[in-house]
Amino acid sequence: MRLALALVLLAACSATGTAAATPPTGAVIVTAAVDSFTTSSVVGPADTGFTIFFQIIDSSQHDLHVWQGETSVAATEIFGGPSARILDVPALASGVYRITCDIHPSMEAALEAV
Amino acid sequence: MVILHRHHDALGWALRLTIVALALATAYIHTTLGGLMFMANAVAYVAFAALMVVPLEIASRHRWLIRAALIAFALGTIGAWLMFGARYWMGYLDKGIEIALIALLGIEMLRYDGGPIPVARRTWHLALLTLRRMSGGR
Repeated sequence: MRLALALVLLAACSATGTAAATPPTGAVIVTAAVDSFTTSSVVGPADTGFTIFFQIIDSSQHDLHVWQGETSVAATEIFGGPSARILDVPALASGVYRITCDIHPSMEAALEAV
Repeated sequence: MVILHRHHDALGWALRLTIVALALATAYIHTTLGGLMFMANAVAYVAFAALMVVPLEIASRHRWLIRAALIAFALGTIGAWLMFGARYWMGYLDKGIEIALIALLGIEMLRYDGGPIPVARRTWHLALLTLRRMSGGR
């Protein structure tokens, strides 16, 4: 029982993301539905932190995970839609990064920092 | 032909109903995830749940096979989660349900089918018989 509780707490604490209804000004918007992102790539600023507004427009469950190669950069919690989370992304050097969903392995898109 | 499960005692019924409830619970969880793969998984669990209780002679006669197939399916689902699945509270909850489901199916297998070894033998014989029929032999 204690182990299960610890696992649940660990899972809950290992991801970030704040619930939000509307995208903040200047946020990069990423949308998910069923088992895909609605776009294959999004663009964000390089060398400065920015926010991603991640919205699920149906009742499916997703998270948004940003990767630099095999290294995790930032991730929201896993949550069910229709709902949205704001993810603070640290400053990224210019380049192409992967965004994925941890529930749906087939979901992948590119985050281009320019 | 419709038959009743006359051989089930109270414990047997409780066991069977819990198995069905667990199969439906994991099916429901899979429907909430979204996507064809999870929906297919949920449909399979619902089908297995129905096959575990449908009062038809053909299903009753092959309940040993349905049980074994459901164990294999749940093990496969757990294996897929270990390889690709997200580690979060609902994933752990769902795997807990599936492990409990496998355990209860194992108890049923011991009670009604003599355990995994006789089931493996019956499955092997059934596979051979099917292959012979498909190849036109007797």
